[in-house]
Amino acid sequence: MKNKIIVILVLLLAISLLASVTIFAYVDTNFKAIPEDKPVEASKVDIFIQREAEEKNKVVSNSDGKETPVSYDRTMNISMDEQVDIYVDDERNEFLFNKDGTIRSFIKSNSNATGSDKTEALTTDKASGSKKDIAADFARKMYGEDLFSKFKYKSTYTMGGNMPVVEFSIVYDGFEYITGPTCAVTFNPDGTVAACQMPNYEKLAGFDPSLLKGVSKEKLDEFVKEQIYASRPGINDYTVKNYELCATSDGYAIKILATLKFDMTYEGAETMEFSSLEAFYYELAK
Amino acid sequence: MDWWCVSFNTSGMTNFYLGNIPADCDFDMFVYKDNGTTLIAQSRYNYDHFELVRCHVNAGDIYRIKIICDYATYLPDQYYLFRVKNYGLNDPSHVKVFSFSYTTTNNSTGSTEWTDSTSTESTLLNLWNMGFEGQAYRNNPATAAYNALPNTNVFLVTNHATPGKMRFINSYLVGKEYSGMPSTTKALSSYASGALSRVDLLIFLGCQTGITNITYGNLVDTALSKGAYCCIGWASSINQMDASIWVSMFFYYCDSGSTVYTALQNANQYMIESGSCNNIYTITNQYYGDSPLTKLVLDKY
Repeated sequence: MKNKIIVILVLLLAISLLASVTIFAYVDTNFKAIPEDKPVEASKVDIFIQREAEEKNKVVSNSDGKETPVSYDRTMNISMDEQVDIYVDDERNEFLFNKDGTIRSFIKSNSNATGSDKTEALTTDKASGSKKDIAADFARKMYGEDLFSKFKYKSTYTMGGNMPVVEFSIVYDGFEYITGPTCAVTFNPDGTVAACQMPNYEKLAGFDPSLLKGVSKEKLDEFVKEQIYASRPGINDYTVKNYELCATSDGYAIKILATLKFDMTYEGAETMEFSSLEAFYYELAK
Repeated sequence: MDWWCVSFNTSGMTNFYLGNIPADCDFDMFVYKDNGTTLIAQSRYNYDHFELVRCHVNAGDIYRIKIICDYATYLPDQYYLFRVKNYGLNDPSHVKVFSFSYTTTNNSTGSTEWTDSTSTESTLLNLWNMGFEGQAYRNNPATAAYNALPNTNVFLVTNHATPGKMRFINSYLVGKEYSGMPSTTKALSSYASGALSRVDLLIFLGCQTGITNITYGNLVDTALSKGAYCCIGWASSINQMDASIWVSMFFYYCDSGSTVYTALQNANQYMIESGSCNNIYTITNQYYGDSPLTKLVLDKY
C-alpha cells in the first residue's frame, strides 16, 4: 500500500469561496499606513451565485411529512467543482440540493431569530437526551428511514455558544474511531430545530469499507507522529483530535486532526506556548 | 452614460463607490483626470455587482467619473448610488471603522503562520461594499492595535493566541496587566473605563481567545468591561484555513444586513455545509460574554 501525505492547504477551495483582489501594501511600525498610489483591481468569486436551475420549482417533504413547494433562490459555491442549489419555501426556509437532485440540508430561516443576549454555555449533557431523539426523528423524516438508518449517534456539542448540535455518523465495523459521512441537527437556543444537514454523504456514498483493510488506529497514530515531527521539528507536544473519512480528488483518505503545541520567542517579549490545529491525510489504497 | 465631476479639499485615499445597481444591470465605473481622457482607475465587476475604486487623490485637482451601463437597458426611473469619500490615511484617527492586524513573520518552529490571505481581501471588499473605510494593517505591534482600537468601530484581529493573550509582531495583547509584563505587551485592562465605547464589534480570531487565563485574564470580558458593545472570541483552538473561510462568511452575512448574531449563525451553518472545515466544533465554538449580538447590525455608513 502506498501512503503519502496530502498537502494540507486546500487553497483552491478557499480561492473559490473567497474573493481575490490586489490591495495596497501597508507596512509601518508606527501605525501610519502609507498607501501606494495605485488603484484596486478587484475581481470577486462570490460564495453565492445565480444560475439557470434545471428546476425552478420543487416539492419537498418537510419534517412533518407534509409536502412543501419550494422555488430556486441561489447556488452556493462549495468548492471549485461543487455547487449546491438552494431552494426556499414561502417562509424563506432553505432546502439545499446536491448535484444529483437529492436533498442535502434544511436550514430554517433565522431572520426572526432572537437568540440569547447572554451566553448560556450548554453542556454536552444538557444538550443531549431528548434533543438526541428529536434530532434523530427530524433527520429520519427528512432523509428517509433507508438512508438515516445507516447513521449512529456520535456526539453533541454547542455552536456559537448556545446552539446545541447533535451529530450522527456512519460507522464502519471495527473502525468506530473513524468518523464517516455525517448528519448534523442544530437547535436554536429556544429548542426548535435550526438546521438538519448531511454535507458529505454524497461524496462518500460510494465508499467501499474494504478500503480500510490494513488500517489500524496504531498505524494512523504512527503515521501522524512521523508527519508531525518531520514537518514541525520544534514542537513541544501534540494531541490527535479525531480521525475522519474524507474524499480526495482521486480517492479517499483518513483526515487526522491534531493540535500542535510550540513555543514562540520574540525580542522584547517573553516566550509563549501556542497551539495550532492542523490536518494530516492518510491516503487509502485505491 | 453619466459623467460626474468632483474635487477635494484634502489629499488622501478616496473611495469611489457605485451601489444600488438595478437588477440584471452591469455598470462599470472609470475615474479620469480633469482632461477626461487620462484614466486613473476603473472598476468593472460583472452584472448585479457594486463597483469600487480606491485611489489617492490630490487636494484641488478635479476628477471626472464616467459611469456606464454595460449590460441591460438603461432605466430612467431607477437610481444607482454614487458615493465619494475622501479620508486621510496618514492620520490613524481617520481609520473610522475597520482595522485588523496580521503578520507574515516566520517563527523558528516552522509552524504555519497567520499570513495574509484571501480572507483579508474578501473581508475588505464586503466592508467597502457596506460603505466602511476598512483597512488592513500587517506586521504591527500590539501598541498599534492598542492605540487604534478606541477609535475604531469594527475591529478584527487574527493571529496566534492562547487564553487571555493574542500575539502581534514582537509583542502581545493581553486581557489584564500582570507582574513583569514587558513594555511591548499591552493590556486591555489598562484602558480607562468606557474607553472602548466607540467599538461596536471586536473579534479576536485566534485559538482560545475566549478562555480565561489566571495571569492574562480574558480578552473578551475585559473588552466588554471597557465599553465595547460586542466582542467575539473562541473557546477552542482553530485552524487558519477554517478561520479565513469563517470570517469571509461572517462578513458576507453582515454585508447582507444580518444582525451579528444571525451572521454568526449563518457563517457557522455554512461552515458545516461547505464540508471544508477541519473541525466544525472548534470553529463554531465561540464565546461572546454578555455581548448583545442580536441587537447589532453593522450599519452602512
